[in-house]
Amino acid sequence: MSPGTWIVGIVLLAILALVVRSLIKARKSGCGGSCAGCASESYCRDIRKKE
Amino acid sequence: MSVTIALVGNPNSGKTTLFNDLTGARQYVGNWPGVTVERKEGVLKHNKHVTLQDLPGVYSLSPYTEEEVITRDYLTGGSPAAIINIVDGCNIERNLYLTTQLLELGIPTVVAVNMMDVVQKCGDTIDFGKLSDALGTPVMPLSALKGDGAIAVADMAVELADKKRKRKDPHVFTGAVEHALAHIEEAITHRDNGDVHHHHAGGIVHEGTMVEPKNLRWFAVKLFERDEKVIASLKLDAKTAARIDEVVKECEAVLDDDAESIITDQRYRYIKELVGKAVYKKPRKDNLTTSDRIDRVVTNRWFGFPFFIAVMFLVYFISVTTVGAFVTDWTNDGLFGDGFFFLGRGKDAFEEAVEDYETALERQEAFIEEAKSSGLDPEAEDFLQQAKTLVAERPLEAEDGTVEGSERVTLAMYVDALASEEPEPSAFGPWVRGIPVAVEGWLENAGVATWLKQLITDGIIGGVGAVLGFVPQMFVLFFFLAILEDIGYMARVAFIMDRIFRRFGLSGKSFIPMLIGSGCSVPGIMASRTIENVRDRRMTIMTTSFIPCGAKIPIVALVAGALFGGSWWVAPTAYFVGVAAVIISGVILKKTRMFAGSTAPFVMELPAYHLPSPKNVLGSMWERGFSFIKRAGTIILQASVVLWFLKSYGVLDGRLQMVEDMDLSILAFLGNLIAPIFRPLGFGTWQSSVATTMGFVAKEEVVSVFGVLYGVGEGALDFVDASNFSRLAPIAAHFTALSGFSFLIFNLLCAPCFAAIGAIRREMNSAKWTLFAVGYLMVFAYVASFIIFQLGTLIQSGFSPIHLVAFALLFGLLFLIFRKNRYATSKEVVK
Amino acid sequence: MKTLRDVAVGQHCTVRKLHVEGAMRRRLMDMGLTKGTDIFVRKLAPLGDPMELTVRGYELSLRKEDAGKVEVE
Repeated sequence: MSPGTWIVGIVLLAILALVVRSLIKARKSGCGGSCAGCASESYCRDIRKKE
Repeated sequence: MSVTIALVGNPNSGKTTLFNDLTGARQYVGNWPGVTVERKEGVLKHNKHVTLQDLPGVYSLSPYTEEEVITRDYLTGGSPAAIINIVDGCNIERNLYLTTQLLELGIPTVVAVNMMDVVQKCGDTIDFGKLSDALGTPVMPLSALKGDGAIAVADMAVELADKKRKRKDPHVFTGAVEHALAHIEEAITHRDNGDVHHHHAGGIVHEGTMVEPKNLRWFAVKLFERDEKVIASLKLDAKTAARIDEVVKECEAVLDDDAESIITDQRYRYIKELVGKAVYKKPRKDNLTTSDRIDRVVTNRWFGFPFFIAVMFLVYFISVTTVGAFVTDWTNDGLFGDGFFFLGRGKDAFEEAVEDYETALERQEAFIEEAKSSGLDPEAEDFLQQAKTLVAERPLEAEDGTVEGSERVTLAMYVDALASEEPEPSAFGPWVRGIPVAVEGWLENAGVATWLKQLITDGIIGGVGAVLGFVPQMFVLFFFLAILEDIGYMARVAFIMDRIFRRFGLSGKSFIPMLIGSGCSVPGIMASRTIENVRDRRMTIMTTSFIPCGAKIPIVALVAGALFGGSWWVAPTAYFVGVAAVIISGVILKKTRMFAGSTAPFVMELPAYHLPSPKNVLGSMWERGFSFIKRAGTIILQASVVLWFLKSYGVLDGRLQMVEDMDLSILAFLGNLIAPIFRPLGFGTWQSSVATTMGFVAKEEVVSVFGVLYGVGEGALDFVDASNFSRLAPIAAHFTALSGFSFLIFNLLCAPCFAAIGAIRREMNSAKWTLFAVGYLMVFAYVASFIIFQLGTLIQSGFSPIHLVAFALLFGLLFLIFRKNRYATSKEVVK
Repeated sequence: MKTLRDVAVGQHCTVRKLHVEGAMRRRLMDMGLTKGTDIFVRKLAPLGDPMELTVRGYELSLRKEDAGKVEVE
């Protein structure tokens, strides 16, 4: 595989990993999993911290 | 040091405007834990140590609605150091009712009388000194829309929070009630010591005394009113409870009324007297305000409906067909397509050139066809010589696809046509390449492998782009809806429509979600928030996605084009089926135990009209719109990657590899697994199964999957646009008119896309209810398609045993619709 | 018993008693429909229901079914 493929592939994997992490986090924060992308995301984290 | 100040007030009192004034962009928006009531928190612009907590708009602190319970729990929970109570100056009597309740909480409170600009314009005057003296707390003028007085109010609240000075309670109640309250206060302070009492939801533990001294009066009044939530939270011992009951009964006997009524009545009496002293209302000439004048037309017996239809048409027309569609087309074809001309310069010339080029191609084709049919070989060296006298006929098509005469194509024209080249857009103006094209270019330059290039351009950009393409349209729609909400028209819509919707178990407020749902179910479902009653709200959420959303329209167009020759009746039928599904579901569901009970009361304020505030409108538009963009970047991104992998890879020659033929892909394998489920509905092929399944990612996928899987190409819809129905023959070959119709019905009624299911999940705030909603939609769609398809085949080809099942389902459905409502409560009893 | 639903459009009346219990009773009272309150019936919705009332200087809409539980004079 060409170096270009490696670089782009790794960048893509990193992005996907970040997205998955944010989705998992959102689920854990108790907003029912649908809050990545919902307006209450920051709020979810906020109450998580307080608890 | 940081302090929290709570913002409390009636709905429509200008709370949001004041909140935006004071906090600017520094705010969090979210829901209260456990309920879908919006929660906003922000830091003051001019004083970063102060957090402003926006509480739900409430009329009272009664224990009956979610909003009210949240507000009181928050306030008695001890977190706010002060309260800003915003009061509508034009409607001061009812607004002060909440104020009298807030003052009992013992929290420093500043009363801000809003809409002073309107009050002054009317020539009314308010004596703030008298109000402050009587209420024992500062009362200040405010004009939130203009921003006058906002900072002064906030500073006063901070000052009060710092001083914590003891305030004089207003003398709201008469002697008999005060006497009873004093006894109750005594009973709950002098109790047996020792054990620890827990306070509910607020989470505060009170030791020694039962309640905090500053909240004493509040608890006394609530116990007097026999507020069940407060009684439960205090866990009174039997002796104290009996003592309180005795005191309350005594007072009720003296005043000859029930305790709750006594309190409410006396609050209003007190306010009426106070307002009589402190507020001077200038007598009006014709007793009509501007708002009344508008309402004379807008909710008029005869003009009400036409006006409403006109407004809805306008909103829908602008956001879906004109402005919205323009921007959406640009996003889909330009930004996420081939590209676009910057500011449209050179676009017309380019399009003309493209048309010329297409004509040239058609001429070539026609000439060669003619040559072949007269026995000439177009590949021959001396073809031009041989075809010297040949004249071909090229049919000329009008825009609607009908043939309008023909054109003679001579050799000279053919030679000309041969010379024409495909126009290059960059030669015509400032051409900006679309994202996929540009990215493909970069990736190619970087020497990236084909599979990765395809994953990024086809999979990710294609998938995410399809969703982002709808964002501009959503923004336009949200913009208009925010305006309608802000000026106060939505309440009028509910007022007009209530009569119709109540018939099938919904309320007038259910109309708005369905209307928005015709654009996209996600904001439609989100709009169900305005319905306070939980049961009505759940039912609205469940039925909103029956209304065909914008992304389902291509499915309708495709089926109509491929199977019904583009008949005009298919599209209206789709909407009719959707509306019928809503009505049938309403009737069925309201008779189930889950939705049992009397219809919810419809006691709704019709707020005075006022000019929209740009900050509110834009803020609301952005808040709702941005969540779409975020969604596209997370969930849709993941789904696109998985889907691309499934459709591009398959097992060939014993190993996993990229496959050209999608029949061999993993997706086809999975499609075949679920295909039997759809067989009784008439479309049990793997392609239909995959298309339907892909519809859950996004409904517009159904059409593009069909195009690809049936080898029509991605442009299936273009053929529909051009009425070129013969090109859709490969699709038609797999369906009969009946199975096609059944496919359409199923796809229209079944569970919406993941985005909308996510919205259902959020608004229901319960996994159980979400599951029930999705399950109900699926079963309903399946049963409807089953009945239609099977009874159709019965008529076409005679009886077979499966038709008994169809009949059983049909009768079951009719039974559910027409059975007696066992849970209907008599009219006199309202829970 | 004369109830709010019997009051003609354009007429005034005064609340005597609420013949409802629980949440609905409290809601009506919270909105200002207490004993002795003056109510002006402004109009009916285009389909004849709900009603639009003026109570304590603001506009309130109420279904006829619920208005039938408000005794007036």
